[in-house]
Amino acid sequence: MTQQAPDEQTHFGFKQVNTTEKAGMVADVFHSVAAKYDVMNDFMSLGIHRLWKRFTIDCSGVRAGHKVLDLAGGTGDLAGKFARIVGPTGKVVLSDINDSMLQVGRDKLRDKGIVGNIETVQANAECLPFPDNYFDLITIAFGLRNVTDKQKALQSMFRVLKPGGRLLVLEFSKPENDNFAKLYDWYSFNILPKMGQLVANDAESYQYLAESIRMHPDQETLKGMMETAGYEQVTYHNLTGGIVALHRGFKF
Amino acid sequence: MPAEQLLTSSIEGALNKLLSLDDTAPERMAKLVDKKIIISLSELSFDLGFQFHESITVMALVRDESVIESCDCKISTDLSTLVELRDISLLTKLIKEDKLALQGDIQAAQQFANLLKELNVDWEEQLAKSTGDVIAHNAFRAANWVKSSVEQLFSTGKQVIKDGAIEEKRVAAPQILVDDFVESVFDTHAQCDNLEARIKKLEANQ
Ligand SMILES: C[S@@+](CC[C@H](N)C(=O)[O-])C[C@H]1O[C@@H](n2cnc3c(N)ncnc32)[C@H](O)[C@@H]1O
Repeated sequence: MTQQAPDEQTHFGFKQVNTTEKAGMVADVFHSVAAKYDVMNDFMSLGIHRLWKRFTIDCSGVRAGHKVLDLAGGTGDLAGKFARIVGPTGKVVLSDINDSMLQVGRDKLRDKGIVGNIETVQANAECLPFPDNYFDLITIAFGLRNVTDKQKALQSMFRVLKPGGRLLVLEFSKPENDNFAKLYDWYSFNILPKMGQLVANDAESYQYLAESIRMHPDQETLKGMMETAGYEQVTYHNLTGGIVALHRGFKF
Repeated sequence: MPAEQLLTSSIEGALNKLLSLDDTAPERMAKLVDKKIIISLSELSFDLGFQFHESITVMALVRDESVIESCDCKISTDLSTLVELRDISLLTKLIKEDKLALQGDIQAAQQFANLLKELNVDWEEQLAKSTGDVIAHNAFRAANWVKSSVEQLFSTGKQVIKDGAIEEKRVAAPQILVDDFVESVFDTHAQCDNLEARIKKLEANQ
């Protein structure tokens, strides 16, 4: 496992910060955006994030009776869908480091009548509080880039995944076409923070989101990281020209 | 853009909206709760998975993964045969004709077909929710009037075309002439038979 020295540096968006500080700073961002998170997601992606999440569910192979962990699950979009699919004999854990996001998620699921087979657990992806070989499926959607030590988080997920289980990582990635990448960059750094300012009155958080997207490992790098953590048959699928990629790996 | 997901999300949205407008749907749906049906259409490169709970989740599944073990029932067919399935009594006939393959629980397929076939939405009531009773009622009276007028127009139109074709342009024969012609053909046929019989008799006497 990766050790963190107290004076070790990591990135927080484009800034270099002390490794020990990053989780707190990320927490501030998501405390700040929690209430408006769903609205902003629809607004910024023109609703396309719903299709990306649907694709994730379609690739999950999840069935009635399965145990699913939706990690960095935030407001529970994926967890809610999984809870319906696994039915009363299955179980879904919606987990996030941030209690403000979890609270919004809990309320939303309750309002939709999704209760009984779903529980929420506040946890850091780097050291998951679950038994070994426990889940049939783990998903982490738009969460991994916020985690300080991604390799450690991937290893922690590997530990709690059952043999035969799969991990799905849905995350912003590197657009395949250079011109498209430039346009997307311009959108991320000029439009996105302004939208954040306008709708959520919080340009700073959305500036961080744009920066963290740019700093996240590209498709091949993340694939390599998953393989290093022990996952097998790792593949990825680019969505919307590579703005987003879904990585899939199995534990055997 | 993930086109498959766009398709499944539209199907899911439409199905659930329709079901929510039918008060009797939950009762029919109850039999399907926690079941999963896969429809594999030859026109699509992926399968459609229908998962039932208090609503329906529709998924686009990779063909290799949508194996029978992962669902209660799998229907493999094409789009036109699927439409015929509105009449569920045709199921066995379609299977025998190899137009449709069904694996798993046949009852689940029948219940799904019934769920959709028996959809009963009171559109006037739905409209009333957004416009008020009076407007909705008048709108439906107007719509019914338009519908019956159009139908009448069509049947009158058909008659006009028929008459025009027969009497004005003479592109078709009037019924009475057709009947007369048919009768003449029968008479000629009978006379031929008589003639043939007489010739045979004469030949025999020689
Ligand atoms: C952009 S949101 C994604 C939420 C949700 N999965 C979705 O797709 O809508 C990122 C989430 O990651 C969570 N997060 C950040 N660092 C984390 C960590 N180390 N462990 C677990 N969750 C973390 C944040 O609190 C936040 O809710």
